[in-house]
Amino acid sequence: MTAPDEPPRRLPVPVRLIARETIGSFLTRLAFANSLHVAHLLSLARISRARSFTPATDDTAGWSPSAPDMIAALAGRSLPDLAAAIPLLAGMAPAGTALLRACGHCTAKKNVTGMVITRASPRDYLCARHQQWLRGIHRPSLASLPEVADSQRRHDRRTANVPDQDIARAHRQAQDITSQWLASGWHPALTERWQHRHHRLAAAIPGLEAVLTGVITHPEMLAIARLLITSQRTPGIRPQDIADRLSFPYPGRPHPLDPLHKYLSQ
Amino acid sequence: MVTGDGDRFPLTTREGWERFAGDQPADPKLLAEADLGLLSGADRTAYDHDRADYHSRLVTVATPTVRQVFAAGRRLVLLNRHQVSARRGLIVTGAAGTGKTTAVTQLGRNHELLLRHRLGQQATAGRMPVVYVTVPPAATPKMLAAEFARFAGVPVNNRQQNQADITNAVCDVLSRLRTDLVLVDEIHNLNLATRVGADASDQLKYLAERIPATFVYAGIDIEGSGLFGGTRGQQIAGRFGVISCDPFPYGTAGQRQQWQALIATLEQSLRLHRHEPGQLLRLDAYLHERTDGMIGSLSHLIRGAAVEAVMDGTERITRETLDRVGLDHAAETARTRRKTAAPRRRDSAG
Repeated sequence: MTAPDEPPRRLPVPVRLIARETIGSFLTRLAFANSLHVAHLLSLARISRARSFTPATDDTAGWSPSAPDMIAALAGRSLPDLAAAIPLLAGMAPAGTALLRACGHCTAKKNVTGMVITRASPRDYLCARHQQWLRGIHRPSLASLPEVADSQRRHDRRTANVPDQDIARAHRQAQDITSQWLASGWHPALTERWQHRHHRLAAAIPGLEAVLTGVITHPEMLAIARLLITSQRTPGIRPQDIADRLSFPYPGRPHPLDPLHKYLSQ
Repeated sequence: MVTGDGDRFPLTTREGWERFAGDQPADPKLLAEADLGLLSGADRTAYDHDRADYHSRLVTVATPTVRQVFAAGRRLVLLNRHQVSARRGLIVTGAAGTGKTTAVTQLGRNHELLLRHRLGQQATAGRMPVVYVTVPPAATPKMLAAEFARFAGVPVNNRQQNQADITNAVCDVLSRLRTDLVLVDEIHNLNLATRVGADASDQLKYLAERIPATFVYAGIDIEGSGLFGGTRGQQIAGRFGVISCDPFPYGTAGQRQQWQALIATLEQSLRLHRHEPGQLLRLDAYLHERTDGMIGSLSHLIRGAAVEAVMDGTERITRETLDRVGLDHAAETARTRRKTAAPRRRDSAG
């Protein structure tokens, strides 16, 4: 229908742009909105990898040189507009961050009813507005654990000026610490607090048997991450500061193998 | 690279239709004789080119038929808005050159402009209120669905998509874009005497059921084409009103007045330096004889003469200018027939 060098016509139904969306998710939404098979849309966009293409796809494998222009023409938007929302089109290389299914309530507010996959920023764990956990397969409502969303809000406010890569590193280290604390029961008061959260979460979501470690340890993980960031700038964090920040009796002389103590002494 | 320009798209595509609906041709201002003399050669050429371009389109006259189609179409759109099935439609029929296409396209254009005015440009940006398609010759159901897809811009892969795929895609997209007026031109290309034609007619009926819109058909001599015959035809006849587009008559004083009003409207829109108002009006009988009362032929004749007057520098439309403009075969044949019949009548009378 279209000559090889002729740009395709704009598709009749446009789709809204969602920040940091993967190209696979965007093209899948564009195809569904226009009642097209994804494979057909890919052929129009001069992309030859229909078989392994999913909404989570976020690379340029099988792309012809004209593919970005074709996508822009089909979407009815300029390439810079698309690149501002879709990280792959900005750098033509996959972003290194994790894939995340965007909050369904937030996308529905923008009249986007299908699934949207985005590249998560290091701060993306939950939707504070809709009290929804976003990471992992289980995405429980956080209505029964209001402190989780509160801690995220507080964390975002206090670390607004910290670069993303520092946040990402601090979160990785903090997750390592909390998972070790949880697995080995380093601090009974903290373990009890997490068990209590787990019971509240399990009561609110019947049938959910998986232990959502990330959810129940999230407030402490964020507090530890902030401690680690602070310690990088001003070394000499005292055990009392840790106890104050985490609101539990952290020992005045921590065990030499305590993971937090090890990180702070590095 | 956004292909939003409608210049390369015909009226039977979304882009072409959007251009047509939003088109407001510039009205060139006539310069005073003194100013005209001051123009350089290149400027004069550009000035004349603009006027020739303007005259090539001239104006669309709101004839009684155009007004009747608009009023009936608008009423039906409003009546059908809450109708879940058996929506009523309209058929515009008549001989070639009587202004059927102009009437239905003006209905669509006015409907779209009214919607843009009522909801605002931004709210109508994601809508496609009007669809305009023509029935291709020897149309099959798949071809008909593909015409709708072509207008909307839904890409069709003829080898991989069957009729049901294309139809479903078209109905989904048009419902999503809230189309409420569908104009189907050249409906006489449907031949209900053949199996394929009957299937295409059924397809059109199916599309009318699936797309929540008012359907308006236009075509030549539809009553005589068999569209209202048989069981299928009875259903169409039961749901569609008919407006007939006829040539302008020139018998009674009232009919002549209507014809003159049409000429006066066209004459008023001319931008020629030496053309005196009323010059064309005095040629009303001649114009009716040349065009057989067909508005399409009249418009072509006056536009052609105006362009000729700009190009040859006479800047006025005279009988000689009009004589030089050739018309369509139908109008010329009718004129010849009348010319040969008139002496015979005189002979028999004498």
